[in-house]
Amino acid sequence: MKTKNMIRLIEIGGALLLMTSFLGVSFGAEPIKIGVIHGLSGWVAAYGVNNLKGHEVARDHYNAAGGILGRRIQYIVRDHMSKSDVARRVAEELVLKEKVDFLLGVTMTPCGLAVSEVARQYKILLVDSNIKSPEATEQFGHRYIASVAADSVYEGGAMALLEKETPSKTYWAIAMDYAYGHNIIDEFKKKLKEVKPDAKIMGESWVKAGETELTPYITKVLASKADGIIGVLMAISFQNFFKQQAPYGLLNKVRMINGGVMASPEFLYPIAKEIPDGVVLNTWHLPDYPDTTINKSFIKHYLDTTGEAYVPGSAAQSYIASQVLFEAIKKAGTTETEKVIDALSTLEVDTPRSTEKIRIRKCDQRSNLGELWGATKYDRETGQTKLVNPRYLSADALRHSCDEVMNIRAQKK
Amino acid sequence: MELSSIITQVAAGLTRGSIFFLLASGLTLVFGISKVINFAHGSFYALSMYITYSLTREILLLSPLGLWLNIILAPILVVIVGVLLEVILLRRVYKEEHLMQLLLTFALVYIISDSMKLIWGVASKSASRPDLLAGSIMIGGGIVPVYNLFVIASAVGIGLGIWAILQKTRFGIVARAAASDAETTRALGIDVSAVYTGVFAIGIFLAAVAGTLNLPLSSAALGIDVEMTILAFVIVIIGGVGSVGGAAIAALIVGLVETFGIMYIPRLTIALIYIIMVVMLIVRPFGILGRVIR
Amino acid sequence: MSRNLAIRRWFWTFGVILIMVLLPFILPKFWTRLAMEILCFSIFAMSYNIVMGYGGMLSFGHAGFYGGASYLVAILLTKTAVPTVVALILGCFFGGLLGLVIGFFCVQLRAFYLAILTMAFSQLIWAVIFKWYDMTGGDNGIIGIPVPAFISTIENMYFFTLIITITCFYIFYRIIHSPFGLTLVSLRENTQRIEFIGVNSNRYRLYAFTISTFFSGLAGGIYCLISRGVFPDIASWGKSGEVLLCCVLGGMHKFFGPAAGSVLMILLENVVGSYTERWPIILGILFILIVFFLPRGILGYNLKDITSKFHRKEGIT
Repeated sequence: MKTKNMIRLIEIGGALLLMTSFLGVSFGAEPIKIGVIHGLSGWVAAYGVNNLKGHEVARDHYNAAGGILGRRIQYIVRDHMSKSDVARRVAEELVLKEKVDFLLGVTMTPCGLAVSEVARQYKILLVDSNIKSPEATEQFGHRYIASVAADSVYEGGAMALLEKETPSKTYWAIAMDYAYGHNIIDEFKKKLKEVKPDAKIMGESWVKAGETELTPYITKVLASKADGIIGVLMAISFQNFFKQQAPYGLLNKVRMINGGVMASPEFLYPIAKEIPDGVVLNTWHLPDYPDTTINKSFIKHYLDTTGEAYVPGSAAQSYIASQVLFEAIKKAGTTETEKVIDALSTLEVDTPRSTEKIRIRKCDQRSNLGELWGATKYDRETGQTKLVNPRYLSADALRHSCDEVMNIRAQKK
Repeated sequence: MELSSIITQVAAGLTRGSIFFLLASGLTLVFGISKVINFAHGSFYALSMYITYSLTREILLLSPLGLWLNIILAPILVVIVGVLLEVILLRRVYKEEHLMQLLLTFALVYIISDSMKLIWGVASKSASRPDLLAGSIMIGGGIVPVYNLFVIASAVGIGLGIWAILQKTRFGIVARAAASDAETTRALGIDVSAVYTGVFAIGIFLAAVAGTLNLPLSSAALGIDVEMTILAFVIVIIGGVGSVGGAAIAALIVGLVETFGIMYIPRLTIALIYIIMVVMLIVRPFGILGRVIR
Repeated sequence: MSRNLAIRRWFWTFGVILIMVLLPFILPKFWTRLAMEILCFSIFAMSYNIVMGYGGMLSFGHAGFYGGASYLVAILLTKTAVPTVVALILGCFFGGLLGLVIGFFCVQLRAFYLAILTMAFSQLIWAVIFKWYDMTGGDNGIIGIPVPAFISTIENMYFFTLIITITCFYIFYRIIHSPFGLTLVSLRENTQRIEFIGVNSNRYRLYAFTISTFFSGLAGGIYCLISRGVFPDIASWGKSGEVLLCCVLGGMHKFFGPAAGSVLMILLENVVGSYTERWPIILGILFILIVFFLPRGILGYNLKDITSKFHRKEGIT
């Protein structure tokens, strides 16, 4: 037994030593190493896989033009498997073992919060594309996280603003039962009081993550006789809701607006026939709006590089996040973290999403980037459902002001 | 709540319960007769959903005959996969402790799940109800989709079929004998291994049919394999291991509790089903219709 | 036990401890960080094995105690002014208390039913953690847990964890080799016989369960200090499965089995996960290999067992 154990100990020791020796081999001082953390498996995989593509297209674009500051961009990609503790672990591995200069990420807010903590602890800048929780940049915000995602304060407020012009007076809320869903509904309620004081929310239903059975919610809304639905349904719950309501004709009788940034082709295509016209949805990118050169060339570039048929919303979002990071490094003229962070608040970057430029404000390091809102319409020719009459709503008017952010932070202590 | 809404809800709950019954009855048969724990039971359910999707959307044309063919074809394909796995891998652990069976089937869950992801990707897959069954009717003022009635009827039909097989055919008698006393049955010259394989095939077939029938109601996505496995075990425990009738009653209870629970106490529904099982295990561990286990 | 054997065992134990102490000075920070996690998880695995390997109870819900205690410590540290060491101790007792209450119902059942009931209870704990947003942060988890100055650097935290780990292992060793421990193992082997000599089997099982969950609670508390954050997954059945696998992988009937299993599992997770997206298939194949070829775990075999395959003709069968 002892011999066996000794052999095993030597093997493990040898393996460890071997691994250490690899650490000595550097990839050369040349490339800028950026860690990319997204959910490539688990229940957010549908978003994460596309997020990664967006980052990669951005990297290839910039590398083809000679890189940044004459140096090649190199990604080291990790999958957080839709689990926060894995996210923390791979973030630490990227920072401590791979010694990345910057971080990009992170699908799914809880994982994003975990990575943000690592960024703060080891003072590495994380530029995020997906974290919609305002807490990430307010209560838990710090210098080492910047985000281009519009937060849930914006989203809830935008939904209320859009509902201002509609005839609905009695609403029923159906939302995913996690922090994101709750935040949006809370913000919606606040803003609704301002813009449409005579409207009211009759009740709320909370859907557990990954729920496939939406029929009880559908029948409940029918029974309540509400005339509008405020939804924050996502992923499979989003798709099944529309499928399962069809035989009950729910959306023939009742209007619906749904947050959660679901109007990307990969989510709409499978239910093109089941989702009725007139449902208001939001998205990160539309191919034909705005009709600007920037948008067109972005789409062309993306499609040429990947060979795909369309640009998924999350890919567009991640592309923009990468862009912001790269431009900040360029502007700072160095890869020193502190100088790059300082450069962030001076940036003005063009975006394919709207005519306004992206700016990162200093107080919470979140961008002014908003989202695109429109109503569904089935296109008989292509057999697809698209958004028509889209509008871009900027984040500036709808999110917490810098003063409010300071208040929130002060209260936390 | 009005009667019409109640009727709609009950119909939805019964439909759900029917799917659960098919899923759980497969598990209870395998567990009761072969005494093996198959943690990958839900994986076959999920596999069937994906295969049905491919047959409906990608391979076979949407001809009226095509869709009906799927209800038979997809489960058969899944059963072939299941039987292969049983013969090559599972057979060897019948005599081992439950722990080893758990580990082996756990491994299968990982492998099947990642294979499904490899083949079908990460986006969820959806299929529509056959046109013939796409409408809805009114019962007592409440809207009831025709497809719901179809699922309930199928479950009842298949349930009676299983009962008939177990009680009336030679295979059923032999299987029940092997369940009570495998040694003696073997001593009487019966190939018990073949019986076990047959039972496994039936069990997987039931899980697969549940998946195929459920595809138009829901979507095939990552994570449903484990979710359904856990639900199946809960139902089997509540109903009693080895009892198909128990599985039926338990499945109906769970289906209705889930549906009405989501309506009235959505935050607790997730826990309610576990609470029922916990109470059952403490008060009557052998389930509603099960026999006392040594 | 022969004197030779005892000397060799002490030699090996001190050797390993020496290597562990020198670790932060030899390897880069990342490995120290990883080693911390391995140590913490091995406390969890070893405590779990009291119930599983020695007690013969297939608990599939131990993550409920580990995660529950971890959350308690996290909440105390972020929302109250309770000192860190006090919080850790409270975490232990919380784990033990949960184990006492839940174990009371579970130890009465056998095998499969025990597994399902423990899993159900841990799912309930998970559900409470997930839903009680105001207290636990729900799916966002609790981040930014404050860590006192004396363990704020990686090296210090590592040594802190190492000392606690060594102490726990020593305690486990004494428990297993005490009359209580021997009774427990006998219970596992032949319950009826032990009951005939007047031992209340359920009560012994309950004691074992509670002791086990007490230390699982300690592991949970340490985890949240190491990670400075805790998320609902920590109480999920997936985590219960992980610790079960560590014990089986390392050898559940060997004292250091769970520890060895933890080392291997966590190393694999980190290394395999970095290089391929197909880790579930690889993990699955690994389990199958274990079930068929190594059911006693990597520490469960002697050199003799393996070489005996070549000496089949010896002896009378």
